[in-house]
Amino acid sequence: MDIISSNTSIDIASLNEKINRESSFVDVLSMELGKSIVGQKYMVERLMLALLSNGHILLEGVPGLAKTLAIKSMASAIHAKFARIQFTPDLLPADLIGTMIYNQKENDFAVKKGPIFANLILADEINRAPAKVQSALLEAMQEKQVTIGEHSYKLEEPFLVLATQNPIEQEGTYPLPEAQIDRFMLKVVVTYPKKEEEQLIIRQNMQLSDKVINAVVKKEEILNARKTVREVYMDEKIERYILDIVFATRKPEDYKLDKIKPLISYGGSPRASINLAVASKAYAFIKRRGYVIPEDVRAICFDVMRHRIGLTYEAEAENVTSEEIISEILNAVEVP
Amino acid sequence: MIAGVQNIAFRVQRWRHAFVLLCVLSLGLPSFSQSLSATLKADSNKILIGDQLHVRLTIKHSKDLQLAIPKLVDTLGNMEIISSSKIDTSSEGNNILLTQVYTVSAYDSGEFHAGPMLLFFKNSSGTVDSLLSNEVPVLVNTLNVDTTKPFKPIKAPLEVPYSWKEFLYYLIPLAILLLLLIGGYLLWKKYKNKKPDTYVRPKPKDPAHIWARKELKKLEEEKLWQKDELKLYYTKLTDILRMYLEYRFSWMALESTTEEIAAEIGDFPINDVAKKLLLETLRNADLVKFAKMQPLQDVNMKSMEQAFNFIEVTAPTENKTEEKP
Repeated sequence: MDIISSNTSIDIASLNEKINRESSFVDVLSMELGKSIVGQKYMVERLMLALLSNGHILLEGVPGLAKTLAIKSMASAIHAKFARIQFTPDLLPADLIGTMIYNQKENDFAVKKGPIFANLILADEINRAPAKVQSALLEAMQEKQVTIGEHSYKLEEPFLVLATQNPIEQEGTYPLPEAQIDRFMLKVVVTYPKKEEEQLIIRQNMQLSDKVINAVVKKEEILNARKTVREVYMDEKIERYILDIVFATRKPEDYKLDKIKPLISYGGSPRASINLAVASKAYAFIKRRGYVIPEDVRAICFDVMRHRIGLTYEAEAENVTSEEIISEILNAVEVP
Repeated sequence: MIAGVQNIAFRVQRWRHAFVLLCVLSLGLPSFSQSLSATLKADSNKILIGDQLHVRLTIKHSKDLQLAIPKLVDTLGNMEIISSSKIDTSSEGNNILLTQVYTVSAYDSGEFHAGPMLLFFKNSSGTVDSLLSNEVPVLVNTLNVDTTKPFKPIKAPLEVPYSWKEFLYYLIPLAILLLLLIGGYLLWKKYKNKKPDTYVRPKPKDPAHIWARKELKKLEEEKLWQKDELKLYYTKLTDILRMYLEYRFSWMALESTTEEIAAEIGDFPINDVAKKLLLETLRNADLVKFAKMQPLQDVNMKSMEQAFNFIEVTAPTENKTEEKP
């Protein structure tokens, strides 16, 4: 912007430069993922956001939308330890976090670490395992450490849980309780690809050789990028905008949204405000900006808020979704 | 001789006893036998099994008698009561005439009887007594079957012609149900299509362009950027522009981001010159508001100028020359 110059704009300018430098891996990672995933740009972008903002992500979609493939591909593209856990009704917490095994030679118990000791965890069909397993995972997600026997073990950074769940076939599933689903920074609803994209998917699958995903990003790059994301400038006005959005879910009447008041049983928690702020910064980072603008907040608002708004029976009876409520709020809260 | 006299004396004594008995009996009887009578009379004494018969009860009594007529509901004699009429009361000189018609039937063949009927009454002296009416013999016949003739096939059901009245019983509820369904559907459609109640900010008294010019003028006079209050200056500037868009084009621009405005501007009658002026001003302002940018003085002035120009270009044609900044 040549018409603008400033003495205090140096911070932003240098931050922009730093972001441009450190975000280069984002393009490389996107290209690598593009080898195996056609379309689903939205989902891939959200996976990046989760990676950059150190938040866990829950992907929801009908089977066959490349949820698992996207996560596996991302894990392959990063020099990091990856573990896939298929959640089933008979899974036990020990299968996840590990257990103590008796060693006859040494006449002592030895720790056998579970698959959770990895950098990227794919918790496939998380709602198929009972609550005790979900709790074990979600505790690890929150504390970033696991206790086996008498010892607590820190989980290595980056530690990211990418969970999937299926909105259909709900029989025999264990839906995540509100308190636990709140631990996921983003809940992304994966939709069907476009016609042209699906045509490409068919062609790609007809090819004889499988595309190999190379590890193109180092762990350190991600950890550095995470630090830079935290440095992205967020003006007080944006902070207030975020608070307005979250508070509008709690007290809609204060924002002249009386009509949605009976539809909301509970609004977003302070964790929603924190995640909205962090994810907005990560989004600005992806867009190569050193500052957050209202567009960033609006862009990730649905993914951060949709699982944090409790709907009343009235809303369910009228088929009102949390997305519709978020839309109403975004249309009512003044942009700074 | 003695035996003959004794025989005569015995006969006289017997006649005397009979006379005394007659006198005793006649003491009570004359008082009501003439003033109370109950008669049952049927239309016929022969009916076919299941046929109905009218039996008329007629009671005639003097006015000084109090009469209790039993309320029969099931049977009259050994015939079943189908229905009974109300008691018809009329006056006949010093007597009262009560009439009631019973419709009776029998569902077996044989000899039946309607009545007798027991009535209780109280005379003027307070004595309670009863009176039994007559009974009507009724012969109930079945159809005679001539067994000498061969069996005939069972008769087909009678075909009764349909009348439109019969259909009314079905058509009226159906029509009501149909109307309710249509009404419900229309209500549902109306409710579904009902636009959500959106909050509308009160509009200023002046036309949008005049209001905006006045506000910009006020902002200019506040000299905010000269006091180093750049963020406030650009916030107020963009708020005026966004509110002008709302008042002028009914566009909820205050709740839209700059890029949303850029995406939607094509839907409004705003030419390319105005579009460029607006978006440039908004984007510059965003940098000041969110990216800590501090523009040069001439940029601050230019932003104000661009805002005035945008309003000038988009103001309604007839009002363009009304007021100039």
